[in-house]
Amino acid sequence: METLVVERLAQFVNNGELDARMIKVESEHSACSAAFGAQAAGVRAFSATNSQGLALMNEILYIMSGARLPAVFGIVNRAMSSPINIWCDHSDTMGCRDTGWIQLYCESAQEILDTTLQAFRIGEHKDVLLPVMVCFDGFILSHLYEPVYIPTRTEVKPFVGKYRPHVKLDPDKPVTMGPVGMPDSYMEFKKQQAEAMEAAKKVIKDVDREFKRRYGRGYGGLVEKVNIPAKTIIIALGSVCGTIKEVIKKHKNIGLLRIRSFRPFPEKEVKKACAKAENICVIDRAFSFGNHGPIFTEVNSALRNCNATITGFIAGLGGRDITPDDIENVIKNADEGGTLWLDVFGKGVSR
Amino acid sequence: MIEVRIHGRGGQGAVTASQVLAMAFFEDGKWAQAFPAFGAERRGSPAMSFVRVDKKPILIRSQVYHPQYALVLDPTLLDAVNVCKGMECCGFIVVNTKHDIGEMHVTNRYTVDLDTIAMKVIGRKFVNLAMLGAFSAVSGAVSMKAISKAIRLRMEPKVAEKNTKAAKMAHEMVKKEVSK
Repeated sequence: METLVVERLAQFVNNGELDARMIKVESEHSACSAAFGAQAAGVRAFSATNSQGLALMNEILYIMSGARLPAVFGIVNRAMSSPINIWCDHSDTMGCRDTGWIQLYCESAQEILDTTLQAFRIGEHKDVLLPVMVCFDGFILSHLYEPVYIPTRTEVKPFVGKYRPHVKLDPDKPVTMGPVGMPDSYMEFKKQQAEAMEAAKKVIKDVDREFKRRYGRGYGGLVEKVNIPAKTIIIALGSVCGTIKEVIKKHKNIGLLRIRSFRPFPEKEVKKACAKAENICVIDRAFSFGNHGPIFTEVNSALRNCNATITGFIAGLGGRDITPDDIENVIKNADEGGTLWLDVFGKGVSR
Repeated sequence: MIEVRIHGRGGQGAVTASQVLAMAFFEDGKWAQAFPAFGAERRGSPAMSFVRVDKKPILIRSQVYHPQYALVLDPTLLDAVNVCKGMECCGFIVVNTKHDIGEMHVTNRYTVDLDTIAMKVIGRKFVNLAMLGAFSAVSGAVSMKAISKAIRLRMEPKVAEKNTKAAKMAHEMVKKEVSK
């Protein structure tokens, strides 16, 4: 799935178009570790993975964010086995929710490119210094051909800029990286990490705004709003938002709130956008067993003081297509409340 | 919006054909998407790919269920899959075969012997890009100029030259059938 990404990067490096070194490793655990090492040595590190591969990185993901190394990874969203499944859903990145990585979700091929460029600026910002996952739907976006505007190197350079690490491993200027954080300091580290994630909200918005000024394309920062305010609002992330945009053209009083940044979570923006809504539909391409869909839970928490009916829809797991008819079904069941499963066991919706 | 479905067998280049067709539409100034049916195809098993095209950016991200056009690269698929699935009877089907394909629920049916063309021009039965020439003739939705350019952009020069020639031959053959 991410093979295409890595293959193309290998081509760039081989053809001398990208000043970089490819490091071949035997597993995702090592890939993430190598990226950590490279980043610690003071260069930009990038990798791509998904699904069980991302799960194998999990241990190092925490170490990367805790060490405040702003690597950028492309994550091609895919289901978790078992049963064995290679198709799209968001279970893999939702499982990394608390790793301390920024998570940005894309809707189109163009947005993947643009968000990757933005990700370096966001992660490397002095108020942030956190690694970023650029998440995009497996197959639906990863195996898609569509027109993309590719900026030239000269266009990109002034935006992304040269990497100036805040600290690096340097024999002439020794530093300690990855020290022990005893009970008397660990919590201070974590508080600073929490503040950095909070600060990332403004940076994500600012960087997107600057991107728009420079290239004419912007994505709304943390969230994208379509037809808001509205009586019914659908909240979702990823490629399904394109299908939703197409469907709601035919409806009055239905809006879309596309969550672009899941971490940090745009609580304030969700609250503001849904302030006057009566029904909120949350589409989750993942499920937290024993509770609800992960976005549903977060939206409920953000809207804890609202009167709106919030209904969660579990859809598109393991590559099941989310069709315009499914979106119509969501709209039809907008006032049901609780969690419904879409298109499972041959039923339109079910508890 | 036009939706096209390409039926092939794993290894016959249905996915490449959809990508080249999308590029051709793009060359003609349209917005296009190309993507495979999301399966785990093995060589020889039935495979599908899709193209969507519109005058404005395409937002929809679901699979294609009701195409106006179905292009069939391998005649043996007619017995294996329902190539008319989801199509209105006013849709168009183009099949690579030298035999009569008989009645189908879709009224506009065209056959073209791409195997013979490919054997003559390419030397092997690579019919996926030749089919695009036939599609251009049947639909009139994309120019041969754009298809030739897309083939040149996507393939190595030598391969591109042969495939362009095969596509043009297929185009001429089908054009005759269409104007009948």
